[in-house]
Amino acid sequence: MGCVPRGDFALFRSFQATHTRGTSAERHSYVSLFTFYVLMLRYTAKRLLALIPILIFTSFVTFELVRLTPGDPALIMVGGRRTSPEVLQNIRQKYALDRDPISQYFFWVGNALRGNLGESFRLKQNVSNLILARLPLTLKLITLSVIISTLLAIPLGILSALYKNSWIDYTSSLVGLVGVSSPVFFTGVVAVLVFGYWLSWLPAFGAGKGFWDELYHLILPSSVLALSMLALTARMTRSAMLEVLGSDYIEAARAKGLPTSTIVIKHALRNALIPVVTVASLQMGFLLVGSVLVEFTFGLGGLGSLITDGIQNRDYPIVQGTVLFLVVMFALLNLATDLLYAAIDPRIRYS
Amino acid sequence: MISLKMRSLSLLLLLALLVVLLPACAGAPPAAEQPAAEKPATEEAAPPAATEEPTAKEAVTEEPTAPTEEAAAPTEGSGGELIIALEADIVSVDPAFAYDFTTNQVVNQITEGLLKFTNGEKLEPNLAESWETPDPLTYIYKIRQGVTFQDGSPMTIDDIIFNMERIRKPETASYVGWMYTNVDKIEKMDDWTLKVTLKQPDALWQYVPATTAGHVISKAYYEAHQDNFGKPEGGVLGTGPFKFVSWATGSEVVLERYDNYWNKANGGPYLDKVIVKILPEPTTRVAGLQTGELGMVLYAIPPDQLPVVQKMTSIEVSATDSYLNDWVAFNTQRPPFDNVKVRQALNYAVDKAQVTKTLMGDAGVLARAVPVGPRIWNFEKEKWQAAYDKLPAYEKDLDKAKQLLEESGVADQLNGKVITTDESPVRLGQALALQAAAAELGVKLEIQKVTGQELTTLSFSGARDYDIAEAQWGSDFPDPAGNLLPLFHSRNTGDGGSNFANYRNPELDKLLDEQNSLTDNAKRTDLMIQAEQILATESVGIVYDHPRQFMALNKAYTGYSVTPLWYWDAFAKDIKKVE
Repeated sequence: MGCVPRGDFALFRSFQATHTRGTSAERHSYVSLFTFYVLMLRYTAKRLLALIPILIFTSFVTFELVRLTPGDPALIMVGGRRTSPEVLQNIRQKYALDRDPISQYFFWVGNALRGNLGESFRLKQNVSNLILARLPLTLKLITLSVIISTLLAIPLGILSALYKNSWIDYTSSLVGLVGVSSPVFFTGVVAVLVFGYWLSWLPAFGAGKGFWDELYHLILPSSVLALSMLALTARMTRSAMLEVLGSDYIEAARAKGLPTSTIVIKHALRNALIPVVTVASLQMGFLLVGSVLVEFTFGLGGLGSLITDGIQNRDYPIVQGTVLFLVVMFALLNLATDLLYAAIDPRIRYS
Repeated sequence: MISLKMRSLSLLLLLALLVVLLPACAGAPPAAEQPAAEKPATEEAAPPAATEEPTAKEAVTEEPTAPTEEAAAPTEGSGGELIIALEADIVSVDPAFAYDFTTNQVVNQITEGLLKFTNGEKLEPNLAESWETPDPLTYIYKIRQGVTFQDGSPMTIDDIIFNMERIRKPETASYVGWMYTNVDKIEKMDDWTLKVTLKQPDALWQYVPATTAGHVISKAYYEAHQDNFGKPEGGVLGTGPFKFVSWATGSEVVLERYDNYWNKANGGPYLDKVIVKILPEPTTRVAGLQTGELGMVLYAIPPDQLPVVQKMTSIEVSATDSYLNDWVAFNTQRPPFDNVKVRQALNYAVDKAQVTKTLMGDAGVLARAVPVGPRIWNFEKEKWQAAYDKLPAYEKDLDKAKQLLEESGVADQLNGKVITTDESPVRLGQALALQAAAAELGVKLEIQKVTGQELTTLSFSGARDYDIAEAQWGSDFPDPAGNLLPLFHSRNTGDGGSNFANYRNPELDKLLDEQNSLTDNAKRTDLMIQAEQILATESVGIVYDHPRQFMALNKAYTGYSVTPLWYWDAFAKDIKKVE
């Protein structure tokens, strides 16, 4: 990534735009836009089809793996409480726990295809409802985290690249290092103590209601998460920028006499952003579950805590349902990223 | 050729469209969205972050919204919100599944039972005005008239019978269904009289109607919401002081005052709203108390931060001795722990007083040989005390321990595994103390750390696949039998049973069965004392202490302090803001 011709192309385009006019050109553009979309749709369809074997494989593996772990879900369901063998037998029958693992799997698949992901053993609620109820909070949390992380990391990365090996560079590396090395549950607790307890600037827990209140509540947990992601994004921006800044067409732009800010923002950044977009989307995927530690600390009911509690409690339906859901989410996220590339980089064509 | 600009612009528009549509596709908004317009940061309504000035003078008192209809007039001093923190999400709002320290805190405010416990000791009328026992097998309850459910519909005896039968049925798999094991028939004698007939006399049955097993829900509501009853979408309809409004799983539960609550005797309910937040991280709970964002934390105060909370000027910490026990159970059916001298030796080797002092400070009351502590002696106190003093205390005596070990005859084959969980520093610490003490005797004990869930599974599974298990148990009833029966009767060794020590002694069973068939507390006490003497001599486990229970309440509120049976209390009814 980050090779020469692309930059040429952008420069060429900007030259063209200022010197070409004409309706025929515009008409051509609309037809081409249509073709572009058709190509994209074909590509998307292919990717979605490829998803099916992935889903079958992961769901089967999860299903059987989860049943190999020690711990009897029926006993856990009534955990810490007395019960009788009849009740336990009833529970086992109700949740098909008394059949062999293979038939249990097909029982579950049959329901899943009909949209019923089953009922949580412990929470006695529909798994799909649980996931959908918690999804918005997780999405808000990870989106805000990625935004904060990117907003901080990109300028840091650019500055580090421009002032390579200066104190700016070293400081930003240090900040990134501290962020990535500190465990999230530690920084989370510190954040609660500093901003919630001592300074009382921000709420220590909860998600709030309404847009601004939620923003107010989610700023702290998102910042904690962002801090841990900062290093990677900043580093990637820095190296991508360095590569781009070293290329010929940038030298040409400098020779033309364009101011540094124009060079950096208008030409270099766009090209340097591709690896950053990759990283950001991977991080978002990771955060779907990785935000669990922040959810724990700040009392947020999101997907991460749903799945980790489910695993701890041997709550098979939740584990199976969420894994399925996450596989789909992750695949869609990757698909979206790839489609985004096609928009940013005209050289990337998909057959 | 499409320009780069056009392409990216159109894709961006598409993306924006998706983002806007996504929340719509995500189905019904989480129930948390529903409660009527709240001003942002509901924490404002809770007491102000009173770090300096602790009390009443500073507290903001909301004006009571006195409506004019006399039936719905809230009481004097009404108003305000209380925010409570739990350490985990509740299981359900259906009382059939309310049988743990977290779920109960919520359910007990919404539904209530025929009877109730006062001060964690005494059984008193609630939805039943009175009850009588013409013979040991028959209990007759007179049902209170004029009680309404939170939607205004009248409570009838049909609702009561319906729910009792529902909880009894194995298909419901209710967590409290086992309390009906001895019940033969539940019948309606007339519109306001309920008759419960037992299969055999059961001294513990009298308490059941005061637990969630005796809570009343609306039959009509249940039938209309069968699929999602007790879940966030379905909720629950009861007769209690607060009605269910919403439940955002993993986040919070919102309850609102029920103005037509039947029991205005002591005033109350006062609070407009109770908001229950789910905060698994202990530090966050403590921070919340300090800043005033949280009004109350019951039971879920991390033991190591208890001194910090007690020092907070805006917080009042109330405490009570409890019916709980921290102990370590020997698997008495597994060699070498089937040998009584081995068990006694180990008991003499552990310095329980020292361990309790180090691990609990004064958050625990030192126990003496049996899991029946002074607080649970709610009748015949002198008898219990006299017998208690005569029980072997098993104070640390290494020489005696060594001697017993030699006498046991199996001193050379001694090793074993202690299962415990590191999720609680106390439980881990007690296991470690045992290991260290055993080492002094030359006995090698290994510690196996498992998750709390695994420990539960192992402790309650009939296979009893462990040598020694760390255990915690608290009676559900204000009666020593509530500890003795579940823990030591042989019929509780199977799957789902709580006989952690796997103890099977026909003589003990006989004593326990006999006391349970009597209603005369004096005679029952004699039999139970005999039982505990056997248990003490047999040293079936090492009982460390009885943990005290703590509650932190912001000083802007008053009305309730923690009782031994707080997990059956409708505490929110009495809480109000200090004027």
